Amino acid sequence: MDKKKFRETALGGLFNNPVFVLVLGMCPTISKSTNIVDAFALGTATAFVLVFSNLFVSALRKFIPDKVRLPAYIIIIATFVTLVQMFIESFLPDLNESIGAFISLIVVNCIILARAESFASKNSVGYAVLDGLSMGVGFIFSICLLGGIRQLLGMAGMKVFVTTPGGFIVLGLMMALFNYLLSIYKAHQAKKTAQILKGVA
Amino acid sequence: MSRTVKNALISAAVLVVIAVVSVTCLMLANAFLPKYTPTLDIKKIGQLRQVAPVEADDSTALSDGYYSIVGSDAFDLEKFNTDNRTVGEVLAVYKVEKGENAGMYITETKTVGYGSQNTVLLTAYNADATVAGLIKLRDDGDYLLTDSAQYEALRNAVIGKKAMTTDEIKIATGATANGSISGIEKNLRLSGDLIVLLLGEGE
Repeated sequence: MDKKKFRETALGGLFNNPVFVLVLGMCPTISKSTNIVDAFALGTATAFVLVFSNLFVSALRKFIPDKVRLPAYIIIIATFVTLVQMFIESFLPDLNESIGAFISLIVVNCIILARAESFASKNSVGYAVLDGLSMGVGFIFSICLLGGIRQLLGMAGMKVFVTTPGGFIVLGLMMALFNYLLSIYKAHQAKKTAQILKGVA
Repeated sequence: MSRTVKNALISAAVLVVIAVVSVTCLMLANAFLPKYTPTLDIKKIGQLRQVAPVEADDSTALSDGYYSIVGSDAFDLEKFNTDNRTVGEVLAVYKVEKGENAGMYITETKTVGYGSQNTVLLTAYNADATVAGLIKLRDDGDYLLTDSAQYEALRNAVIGKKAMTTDEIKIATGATANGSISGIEKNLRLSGDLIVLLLGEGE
């Protein structure tokens, strides 16, 4: 196993965070991050679809002709979304009432199609599943963080942050902070690598 | 056979195989997952009281049996749903057993608007099959019913009527949310047909 590729894929959800770095899936991120419970549920549902669609897209990549790959991916993604929706309707009716509308919209969530197209269709099943897990966890982390902060601000009386415009403000600030911390980490890593190379030379 | 035709046929065949496998998986899941079963809990009683009020509070209405679920002895719900599957699904029918609205039927219906969004309504009916009250339990459509003014306008317009066309809903609410409007129209049509069946053709 290529250790570097494994590490890069496993940490993809952090360094290429779908919400804070790639800025994908903004509609559910803003709409359902008003409280942490809905955010976690939608994040988990999205992660499930991401993992399984990546698995099947990767497994079938050699059989799906290039010209029909997108409709094929959409069918695969829609199947898993419908399964999740049926499961939630059957077992979690209260959750279904609050996030039901957004479950069916997972089909058109850019994160899922983007990962299927840019990663799963070009890599082996193991890496595709790892990428799905990593990106899924990254999405859950971001949406829960946003949901938690907006819920706390709402409870503190700042109701504006529970609204959609307020959601964008919180998201923008979170995005700035996340990318700032990420740039510090990357600069630190680059410095460390340069020192090692200098030592070797 | 030219290479282009061959490629097109292979592409179509692959898509068909993927679609067939997907549909089979969904059919199996649909067969094994438990179906919605109506229950009369405190939350449901609260919703029923909004469309067909009784003088008792929620907990008294629940414990004293102010509402009941209309069972299969009154009508064949499964057959009705099969016959009307293109319109939507009746999830449950409730009846007011006590109080000034005793005898009133309440339907819980689910339909799909334009673009496959679910709309679930709870609609109460008078003895002459006209609407007595209405609340939305779910609207995944264009969010017409999240606007309280439009929702109130819809309620005011539908009370006393047996059904409403999509144009009438648009005029009454001033909304252009096609997904929601279509879902509401289908809900009213479906529940109206069922009420006529329950009350008898002559009434």
